[in-house]
Amino acid sequence: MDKVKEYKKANPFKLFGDHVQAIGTGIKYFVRPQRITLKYPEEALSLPSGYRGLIRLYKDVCIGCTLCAMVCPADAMKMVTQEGKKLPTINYGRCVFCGFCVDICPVDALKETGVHDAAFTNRRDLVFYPDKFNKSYDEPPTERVVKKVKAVVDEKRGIKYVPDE
Amino acid sequence: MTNRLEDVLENSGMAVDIVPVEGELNVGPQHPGSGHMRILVKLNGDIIEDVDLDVGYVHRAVEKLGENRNYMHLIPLVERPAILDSIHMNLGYVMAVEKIINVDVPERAQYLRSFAAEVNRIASHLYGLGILGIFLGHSTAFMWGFGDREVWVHILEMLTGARVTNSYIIPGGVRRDLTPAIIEETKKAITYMRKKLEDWKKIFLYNPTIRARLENVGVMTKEKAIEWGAVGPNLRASGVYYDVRKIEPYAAYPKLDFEIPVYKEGDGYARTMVRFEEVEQSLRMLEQIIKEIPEGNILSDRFFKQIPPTRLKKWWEGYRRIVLPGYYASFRPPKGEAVTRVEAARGELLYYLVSDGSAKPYRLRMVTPSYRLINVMRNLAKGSRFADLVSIYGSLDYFPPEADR
Repeated sequence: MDKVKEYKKANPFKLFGDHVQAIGTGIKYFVRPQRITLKYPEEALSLPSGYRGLIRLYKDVCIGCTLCAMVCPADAMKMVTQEGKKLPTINYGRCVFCGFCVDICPVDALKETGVHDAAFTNRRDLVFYPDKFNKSYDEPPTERVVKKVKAVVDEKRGIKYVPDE
Repeated sequence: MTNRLEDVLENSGMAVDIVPVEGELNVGPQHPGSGHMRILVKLNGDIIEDVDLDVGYVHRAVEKLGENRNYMHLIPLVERPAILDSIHMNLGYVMAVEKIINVDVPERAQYLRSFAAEVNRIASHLYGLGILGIFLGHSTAFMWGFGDREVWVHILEMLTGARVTNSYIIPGGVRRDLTPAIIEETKKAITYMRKKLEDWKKIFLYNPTIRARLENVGVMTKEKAIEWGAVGPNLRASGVYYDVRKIEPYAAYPKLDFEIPVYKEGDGYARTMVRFEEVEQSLRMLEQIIKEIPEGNILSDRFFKQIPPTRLKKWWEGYRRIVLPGYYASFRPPKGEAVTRVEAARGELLYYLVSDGSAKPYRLRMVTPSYRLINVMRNLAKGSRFADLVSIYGSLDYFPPEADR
């Protein structure tokens, strides 16, 4: 059992020194600020490998075993029958991106893409039927304005962004 | 002194009539701090006479929903109440399921569970300190808390594939293995955090303005803490040595060397000190885990054998990732019940799970640490000054969604 500690009660003579110390630390960070804000549309974060982003389907690989629909915790994945073959369809309005469906698929017909920022104008667009689901929703803007950066931990600055090729 | 001041005011023609005010005050119907809760404060002048916590604003019926979903479906659900502490929420539940289906967890998976839990504890404490900072009007601590939390969230993101909704722990093991790249980043993060904690102390912890707001505020004696049912860092700040990691060790904690910070005073400052020292202890534990983690499997052999060999080759040998065998889609555990306790960032978290032999649990009971703080906070706030309400709230690190479930 560890001992019960007591903190030192404030010494009135030390208070001034503590104030100076606090202000000094403030000045230190004023001179060398530690910013981690990203200018989002100009600088986009590329995600680490294995990130659980939007999911895509490989229609030809799928065997229609319905395991993905069974394990889905949010009822986002449902099976539809197309030309006599059962295929999964996903509703991104319900999906919680747990990745269980990708992990449980016995033939690797589902894949996590590294895309997580998607916007839809219509709630019906959130439902991806097999034909749409079969394509990768991987359309990051390619113009030169977007600078791809990736986050790394730095010993001095915490999170640091380095250009990602 | 006061008489003289009143005389001076009257002589100069600036006398004010002081009318004692009684009444009720709504503190934030929606957002008094971290999360949604209304605090009905009954005031007598500046002194709080009674506090009524209007809990339930973010109630999500996790327990009832648990009866309509199967065991795997519940993993993402149970971590939703405390999104910033999801590894612990997940761990407690999965340990209960493991007790019912009677499965052993490999050593490496136990270490990985502790690793993820400690990273999550640091992130959660930094969040709590940030919230306390902004409550006291110390915006720097708020920015630092959330900025430094990002480092640990980044490590969790590399390890689990998601920032906060990790769903990392599954019955029988964990989903992904520790790679050299993650170890490298964690080492850097530990060095960074140690250095940054010194600055944290200078600007926040030893700052006389912060000490003045927290010392002797919301004092909870040892007897009262036990009587009101406080848990976690708040209990330990009142001089009670109680931590589930030591009392009833789970995961890799029996093999790790760490101390439990206990403070005697029981006021807001002691609670903040306990959180700071817990972060330091978690950094120590992470170093030990990185050094001592044994080689081996991360999923119980019983399930590992069920993974198709071709997939095993691709995912386990290629990416150090476990894929789920079909068993997980809908398994029926035997009849039974299990109680598990884990030490979440805010205190003891208890799960009670009853299985009736079907694919869905018969009952899931979840007693979260913040739920037990409702009573503590109500009692602590009585008799204190209104300006100290936020100090008490922040120093308890109360998180409404976790309490409401």
